[in-house]
Amino acid sequence: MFVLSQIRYRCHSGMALVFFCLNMAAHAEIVVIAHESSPLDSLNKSQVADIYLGRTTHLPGIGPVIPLDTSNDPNLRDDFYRRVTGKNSAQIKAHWARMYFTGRGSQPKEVEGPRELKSLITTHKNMIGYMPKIEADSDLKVLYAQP
Amino acid sequence: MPNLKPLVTLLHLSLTGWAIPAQALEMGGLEFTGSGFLTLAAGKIISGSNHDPGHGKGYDGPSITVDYANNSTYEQGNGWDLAPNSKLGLQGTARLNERFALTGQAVARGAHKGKINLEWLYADIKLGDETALQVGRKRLPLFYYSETQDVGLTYPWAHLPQGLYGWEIVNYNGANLMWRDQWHNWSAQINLFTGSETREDNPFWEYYNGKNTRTDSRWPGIYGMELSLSKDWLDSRLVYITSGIQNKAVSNGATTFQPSPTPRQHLYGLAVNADHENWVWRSELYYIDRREADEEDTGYMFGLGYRWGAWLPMLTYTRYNQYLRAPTYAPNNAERYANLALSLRWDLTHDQALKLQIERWLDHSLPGYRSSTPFAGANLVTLSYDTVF
Repeated sequence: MFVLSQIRYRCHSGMALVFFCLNMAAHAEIVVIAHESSPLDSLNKSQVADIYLGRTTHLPGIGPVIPLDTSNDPNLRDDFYRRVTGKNSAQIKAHWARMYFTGRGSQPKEVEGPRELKSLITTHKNMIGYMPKIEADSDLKVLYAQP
Repeated sequence: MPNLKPLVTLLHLSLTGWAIPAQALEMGGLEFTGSGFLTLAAGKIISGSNHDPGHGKGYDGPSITVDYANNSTYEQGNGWDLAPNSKLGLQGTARLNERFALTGQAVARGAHKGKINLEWLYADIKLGDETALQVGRKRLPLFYYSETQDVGLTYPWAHLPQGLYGWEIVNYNGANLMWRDQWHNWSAQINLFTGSETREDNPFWEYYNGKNTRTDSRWPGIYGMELSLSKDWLDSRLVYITSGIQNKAVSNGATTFQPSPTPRQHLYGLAVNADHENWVWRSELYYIDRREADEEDTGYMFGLGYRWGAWLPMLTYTRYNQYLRAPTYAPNNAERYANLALSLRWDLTHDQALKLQIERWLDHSLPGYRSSTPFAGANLVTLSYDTVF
């Protein structure tokens, strides 16, 4: 009986830890970034959503803006889209299927992770990406912060 | 044992891939990308009645057509039927550079016994950052989902509401000019298009004239424009299309398109869709002025759903009304029907969905029309699987 109680306690503790971690992950601040030399200074939530949904590909006075997606962290990607567009991953995929199969747009290019993202936006001043705020270096410009 | 490796590979790609297109290859300075979609749908007429059981036009008992353009019809006598609405589509793009690409899309569907149709083949020429000229064969953007009518993953139902999407011409050969703009925080897309379409042995007319008949259709001189406006959770669309309308009843011995000269039709459509928090709203209405042919058509659809995580139950009502006039038509003659559908979509993953739909199709046609159709109403249950890869 004692052993069983211990196991239950450990399970409950483990589950609490998992939920705590999930909660932390879900509430980590996500930032939309560009290189510090980018002509972009800031974006609002609607602009970020429009760019990542392919509703616009350029901004007045700025020119083309190319969004980048992340492929190595589906949780970060899903969290980003849910917060910015209000859509879950299935809704986003349905949206892009509609855009792609009608010749109206293509999904953002995927990058492996923060290293490739930083490398690309350093060489392409009109590219933007997203990452947890904690990973954004000082040579990156934060265009939008999603709490 | 059958070789399941290609299927496993396909499912793996489907389950893990995020981006569309799924496949890319570079060769000789050209970039090739490939993607596709699949719908496996089984449906069964669970009850129904006929106006005239002896006047079946080749259909086996009470029936429901879910896609008029392809005469995708579930018949009570067929029991559970996979053929009417199952389809596989493949799309490929060859990109020469940032400004020029060529895209083709072929679809094999059960309704045509697996015969492959080329639904899209067009050149895409970028004229500017937000402007594109497309030339070739495309879907005709009659209604909100018309261009993705074969891609089941893009809509919440097992099939599109047939009261709106049931027309004899759904493609055109021609050109369109499309550009985007931002208007006071609204994202706008304007599309101007022109072309024509001739469809030989049109399956649409087999519904009305009988399975073993042949009717050719022609919409010459198509001109249209659509305006799409999006903001946050709201998506709206206005469309106007005009064209000629002609048919050639080959089975009846006709050798030329009639009437001649062709009358013109004018289609006006409005769609307002919303995905606000967990609520899902779909609505669309249209009016087609065919008074030159002594005919008018109206149709509308309203659907309300609520999203619980990966589940989306939805109730949708569709109505179609036809108005026919003398001297072309006898009095008290018009096709009218309603459809009430309860659907449930379950997103298995971000690119796969299972759908269950139960619907009731009610015939409200005027007495003079009823001899033209064998069906008086039916109830249909459909189970479908949709994916893109």
